[in-house]
Formats: sequence, structure tokens, C-alpha cells
Amino acid sequence: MTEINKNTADAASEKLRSILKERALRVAALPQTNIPAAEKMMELTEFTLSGEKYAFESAHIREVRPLEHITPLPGVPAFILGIINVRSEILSVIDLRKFFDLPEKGLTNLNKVIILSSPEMEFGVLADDATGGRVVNADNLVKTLVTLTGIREEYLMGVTTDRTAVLDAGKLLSDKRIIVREGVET
Amino acid sequence: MDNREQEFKKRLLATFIAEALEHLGTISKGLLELEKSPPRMERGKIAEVVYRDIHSLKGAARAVNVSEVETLCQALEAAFSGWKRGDDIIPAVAFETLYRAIESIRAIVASLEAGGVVTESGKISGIIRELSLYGANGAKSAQSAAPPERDAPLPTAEPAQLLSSATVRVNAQTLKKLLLHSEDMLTSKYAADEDSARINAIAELMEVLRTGISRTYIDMMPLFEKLSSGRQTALNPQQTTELEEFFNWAATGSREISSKIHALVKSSSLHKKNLDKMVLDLLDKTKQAMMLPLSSLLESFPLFARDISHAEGKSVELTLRGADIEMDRRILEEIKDPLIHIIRNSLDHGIETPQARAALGKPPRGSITITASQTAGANVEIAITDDGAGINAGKVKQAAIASGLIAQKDAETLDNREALQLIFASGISTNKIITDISGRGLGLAIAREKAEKLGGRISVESTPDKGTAFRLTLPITVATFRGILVKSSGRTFILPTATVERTAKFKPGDIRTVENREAVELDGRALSLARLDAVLGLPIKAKKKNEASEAPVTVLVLNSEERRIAFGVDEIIGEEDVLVKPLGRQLQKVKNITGAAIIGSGAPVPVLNAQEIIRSAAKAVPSPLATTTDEEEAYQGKILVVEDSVTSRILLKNILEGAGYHVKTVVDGIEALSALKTSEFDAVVSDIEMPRMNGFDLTRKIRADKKLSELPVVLVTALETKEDREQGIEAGANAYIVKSSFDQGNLLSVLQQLI
Repeated sequence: MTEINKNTADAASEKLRSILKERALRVAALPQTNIPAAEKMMELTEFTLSGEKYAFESAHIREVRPLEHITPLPGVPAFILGIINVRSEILSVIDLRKFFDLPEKGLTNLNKVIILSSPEMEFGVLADDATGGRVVNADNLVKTLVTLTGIREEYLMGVTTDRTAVLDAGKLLSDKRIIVREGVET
Repeated sequence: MDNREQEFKKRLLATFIAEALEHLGTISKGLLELEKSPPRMERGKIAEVVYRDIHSLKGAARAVNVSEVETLCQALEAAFSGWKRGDDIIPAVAFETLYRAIESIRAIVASLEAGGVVTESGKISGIIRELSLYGANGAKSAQSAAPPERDAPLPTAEPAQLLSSATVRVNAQTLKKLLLHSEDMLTSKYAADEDSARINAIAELMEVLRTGISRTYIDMMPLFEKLSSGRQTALNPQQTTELEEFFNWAATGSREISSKIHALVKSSSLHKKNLDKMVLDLLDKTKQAMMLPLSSLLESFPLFARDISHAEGKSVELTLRGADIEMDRRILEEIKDPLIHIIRNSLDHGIETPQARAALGKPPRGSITITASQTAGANVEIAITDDGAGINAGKVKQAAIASGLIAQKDAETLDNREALQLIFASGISTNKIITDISGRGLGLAIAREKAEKLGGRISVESTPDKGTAFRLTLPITVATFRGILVKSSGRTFILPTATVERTAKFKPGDIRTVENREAVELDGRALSLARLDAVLGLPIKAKKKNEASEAPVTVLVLNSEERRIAFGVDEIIGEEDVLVKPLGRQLQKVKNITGAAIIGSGAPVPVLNAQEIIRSAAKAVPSPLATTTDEEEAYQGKILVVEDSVTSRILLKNILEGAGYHVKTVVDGIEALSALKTSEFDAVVSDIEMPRMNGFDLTRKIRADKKLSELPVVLVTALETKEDREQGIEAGANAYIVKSSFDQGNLLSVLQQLI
């Protein structure tokens, strides 16, 4: 490398540094309001069921797995489709359409089980397919479309701009109505 | 603070909680013994142990920065420094303060465990002030100290928090053995990999042979036709050579496959033997790691009993015997609540007030003893005995009659012991039986449910004014048991072999109907017969017309305390060792079902609760025979019709329903598969050309599925070429009906043959 080139290179990198520095300062000086607050961002896992798009907040999902074999149980509410074996552990699986009294319209594929989990509760939710995850801003969820989804308002966090109904998994998990305790009246 | 650090702090706190509960257990136990004024030598020894545990607890609290526990321990330590040599007797008034200090620590630990903050600080300073009266400096002033006032009710910690903590301590030696055994399993894994490769090789060979044979067969068909119709009478030389070559090729291929299979059989039986041993060893060692002494559950009970009885103005001593017996942690967790309930019962209603006891000539201090002993088999009996008022069997009977649980005339035949067992029935309010039990009247019903779920029993004995004894018999570990696999309404269930008295078969002619209920005669005694599908509320599958009257009914005779009932099933599949697992957190209690076991195919199978199905059967269940209507008589089976054309769909549905089948229709292979996953069918009738998944692929998927592989598949199609027919048969269809030559008699006779 010649002396001239080296100087040019130095000058260039010097210039680059000053640009970067300036940008860094600009970014640092951005008013807080322009950056979405971290707690408003939600990570969603989307799925389809009877042709409709739904999503759960990913934080409540333990895993998504293919539906292999489901054993129906006698004497349980209709929304409980049966039990599955997940690595030698038994888990119950529910059908959201039955739980929410949704019409069972359209083609259905029932290929996936989404396992929702909290320290107190755990069960699978049947889905046609799990279509992936994305991050949305909770402020952008629309509440006015809530009634159009047919899902009871208390379980719905809102609807995204592309009409995905975001269900409240935490509410489902803590709902006492979902627990089956028969035989001994309490 | 970054996440890792926070995570570490959380783990550290969890460890502290487990450790603190352990120390608290030892300290409380020591205090209770010291309160009984043991001889000097022993006194010193016990005090020394307590002192050391207080010291360790103090250190642990300091490490996680729980200063309230640390200062309390500091004060306790100072007090005990004077007592640990055993020279001085701990003054009676001091125990009150000591227990309050321990309870405060327990409450702090409990709130930490619940993720909360320490709220005890107000009380702590008072306790510390009182404690300062004792120990090296304060010993002299102790005698003159006024009894401390009990300002606020004690935070009564639930006993046995140790079990609820998220961490377990496992003996390092046990853990090491576990690791070694797990490593051993690797050899089996490699062997399985090898076998799987061998099986693949065989499958490839088999595929070559199979396609070769079916191709040749199709190629030869014209020849055979000619031969059978007499158009050709002998094989020409070229045909003879072809045939000879084919047989030679097929024979060589079969031989090769056969020898490969022999080698596989040999190696796999060896691997199976090794694997059996390794799995059992590993399971055994793992179970050992799950064992805890009963004392881990019971050690806090004496203190708990002391607090409750104090609050009620009673004096009770709770003694533990045989608490060093080890039991599976999972069983201990399950029996915690029932035990607390039984002890609360004794405290509230068994033990009388000191005045009442004196009037009866009993010592003023009541006693409750929990005695654990190992009984025959791998069982433990836990007896909870009190010397209180006892239970009045007559009153139990009256309450049972009043609530409609038993009839007056049945009640008269019960002796006292039998009548007492009625207190476990869930249908009656125990409130009426034992006067005003505090809290839930269903506690004893839940105790029985828990015991039965764990494969155990519970019973009660009582003598008025002498006392009551509850006996809880439980397995030491969650063990596998023998289970009988039965089929009812097409579904598989398991019944514990131990609950099945015998099995038998009856000709329909031997079944009598009395008052709309079925009965059979066995060993000269009449036995009521219940159909399992009706008891469980399953869709009742009527027999096909032609076999309805002839087929014998398979029954299992089940026996519980009160009743003996024969249960009719479709068939008995066999017997297996099974391990019952809970149904998951959502299904806490399902009627008639104890749990589920995972069988060979990996599918969960419901395990029936014998006691409950007997109770369910005893309630009026209409017999399926008595209610059979003409419609049901015609019922032939359930068919899944897969067809994308609306017209064809309606046509097929009409034909099939007209012939007595129940029909469900779907529009393509993918929908068909999900329908097959969620309900049962007797046959599939499918089109071939459909969107998303065609009939060939659907047939292949059905054949490849373990559960569905035997399901009859009929393909109905417009495709008529030889290749299509060949592809259909290769895919595994049972029949192939061409639409152009379709007539409904054809389809129905095919289905009749297949189902």
C-alpha cells in the first residue's frame, strides 16, 4: 500500500467514525415516545382452526407438536376431545370450537396440538395447523371487531390488523370452568 | 441485575427454603421432646441437636440475606447456648416463646416460597425481646419473667411444607448409580439402531419381491385367462422358461429375506433380554431416589396438633411411631391432605375437653397416635388412633337412611363395623353424622377416593367413649400392576386384575331380564349384569343382525365391599403390566376412571375405577337389550364416505343409510384422516380423485397407521384402467368398484363381506 492510499484510507475511516458517532448521538437523543415500550410488544404463535386465524401469546405455550393418537374419554364435557401421550406424560386436549360454541364450519385438518402451560394448569389445544410466530404491538390490537369472532369477549385480547383473533391463553389456563372434577361434589 | 444473576438468586432461594424446612422440622421435633422433660443426659443431647440446627439455619439465612430469620436464629441460639449442656431445665413458659419463634420463621419461609415478601417483622422484635430473657445472660431472670402475652393468633403453618417445595434432596450415591444405569441403556440404544437398519434392509428386499410378484401376476393374467377358458391348453417353451425363472427368482428372494429375519429374531431377543433387565434396574434405582421417610410428611404434625388443640382449649399429645418407613414421594404428597383431615377430625370431635375427659375417668390430656407399619406385600398401614369420644354407629345409620344412601331394611342388616364405613360415602353429608364437622364434610369421601386411586384402602373402627382408629393401607411406591385389557363399544379400557374376581361367557339365552335389568346365574347365585358401554355412557354398538342372537357375552365379575356385578364387554384382549398415570392437570377427577396407562403402541388407555363403575352400575342403567328399537336392530355399522362431488356424496349416503349404516361424509383425504382420528368407523368408502389428498394416498395413510391398518377401505372411482386398479390394490384397498359399472347391490355386498 502506498503512502497516499494509506492517508486516504485513514481519512475515510476517520470520516466514517465521525458519521457513526453522529448517528449514535442522534439515536440516543430520540425522544422516548417514538420507541414502542418493551412491555407493549407481544410475541404471538398463530394457528388456524376451521379456516379461521387465531393466536396465543407465545409465553403461555410449552410446545407445539403433531397430533398422533388421541384417546377419547367417556363421561367428560364435549370440549374435551381426549387424552394424548406426551413423552410418557398424559395430557388432556380440548377443542376450542366446542368450548366457545363456534360453528364447526369449513374444512378441518386437526394436525397439531398446542400445549398451553402455567404453573397450575396444562392442556393441549387442537389446531389445524400452527403457522408460526410474530411480534405485534399490543396497542394495535382492535377491540371493536371482538364480537365478529364469535368468541366470548372475556377470552379475547383483540384482533390484529390482518384479522387474527388473539386469544387470552392466561385466562383459559386460570379458568376454573375448564377443570373437570366429577364424581365427588364439592 | 441481569437475568442470569436473577435466575441464580431464585435458585439459591429455593435451596434455602428446602433447607430451612428441613431444619425447622428437626428443631420442632426437638422442642416437643424437650417439653416432655426427658432425663438430663437425653435432654442435653436433644438440646445440642436443636442448637446445631438453629446455628446452621442462621448461616443459611445469612447467605441469602433473609435478615429476619437470621436475627430470630441469633436470639434462639443465644437462648439455647445455656440449655444445650442439659444442666438447666428449659422453663415451661419459655416453650411458648420458642414455638412462636419457630412459627414465625416458618411463616417467613412460607411467604418466601409463595414469592411474597416478609411481613412478620412486627412480631419478631417482641419474640426476640422475650428470648433475650433466657440463655447465658438472661437465664437468671427467666424465673421471674411474666408469662409472655399472646398478642396475635399464631400463624398456623400447614404441616408438611417440605413436600411442596420444588427441590428434592437425593443421596449422592443413589444419583451416581442412576447415572451409571442410564449410561448402560446406551448399549441398548445402539442395538436398537442396528436392528432398525436390519429391518429397513428386509423391508427393501420385501418391497422388491412384492412388486415383482404382483407385476408378474398381472402380466400373467391374460395367460391364465386363456388357460382357464381353454383357448390355450399348454404353456409354450418361452412361457415355461419365464415361469420357471420367476419361481426361481421368487424362491431366492424369499430365502434371503427369511435368513435375514432369522438373524434379526435372534439379535432382537437377546437385546430384549438385556433391555428388560436394564429398564427394571433403572426403574428400581429411580424409585429409590423418589423415596422419603414418612417423617418428612409427619414431623410437623405434632406441632400442628398442639396449636389446634390449644386454640380449642384442649390438651392433646400427638405421637408418631414408625415414621422412618420410606415411601414414594408422590404417594406422600397425595395423602397429606387426607391425613390432615383425619387428624383435624380427631382434634375437633374425637378428643374431648379436659373437663369432659375427667368426668369419664380419662387422663385430661388426650392422645392421638399415628403408627406406620409395613404390612404384607409392598404396603404400609398408617393407623391414626385417638382415645376420644368415638363415633356412634347408630347415628351414622340414621344419617345414611335420611340422605337416601341406604334403605331402612338394608340398614338393619348392617353390623356396627359395616355401618361405620358409611362415613366414607360421598352422597351423604358427614355433618349430620358426626356433629358439625368444621370445614368440608366431604373430607372423608376425598380420603377414600385418594386411597383407592393410589391402589390402597381406608377403614374405620370406633368404640363410643373409648376412641376411633382410621386405618389407611397404601402401596409403598407407585407400582405397576396387572391389568386386563377389554374392548367395549370398540374402545379399549383397562381393569386392574386384582378387582376382577373371574371372567365368564354366557349364551344370550342364559341372560334373564328381571324388572328391566339383566341378570345371569353364576355358581348357583344370581348376579346382576351390566353392559360396560351403557355404564360408561358410550355409544352402544348393536350387534349385526345375523350374530345378535348367537354370540356369547363375555363378562368380568367385579367385587367391592358391598356388591358383586358382572360387566358385559365386547371382548377381553389380554393382560399386561401397566402403570397408572394421572390424566393431566385439567382432568382432576373423571367419573369411573382412575387414570390412564400407556400401552405398547404408545396410546394412552383409560384405567377404570372398579369401585366407581360398580356404584355407577348399581344406579339404574337401562339394559341395552330391553331398549333396543327396530332402528337399532337394523344398525349395521358406521361408514365414512370420502367424496368431493356433492352428487356422488348424497347418492352414497342414501344407499348406505337405506341399508342401515350410519354415515359420515367428508370431502377429501385430509378431512377423512382427521375424522378417523377423532371417532371410530367400521369401514371407509372413498373416491380416488379428490383435492388435497387423493384416495390412493388416503388408503396408504390408513394402512400405515397402527390403529387403522385393519380398517376396510373400498375405493369407488371413475378410473378404470389396469394401472389404476393395480395402484389401488398396491395401496392396500380391500375392494375397488368402478363407477361406470356401479350398482348399489355390488357396494352393499362388498361391505357386508368386509365388516
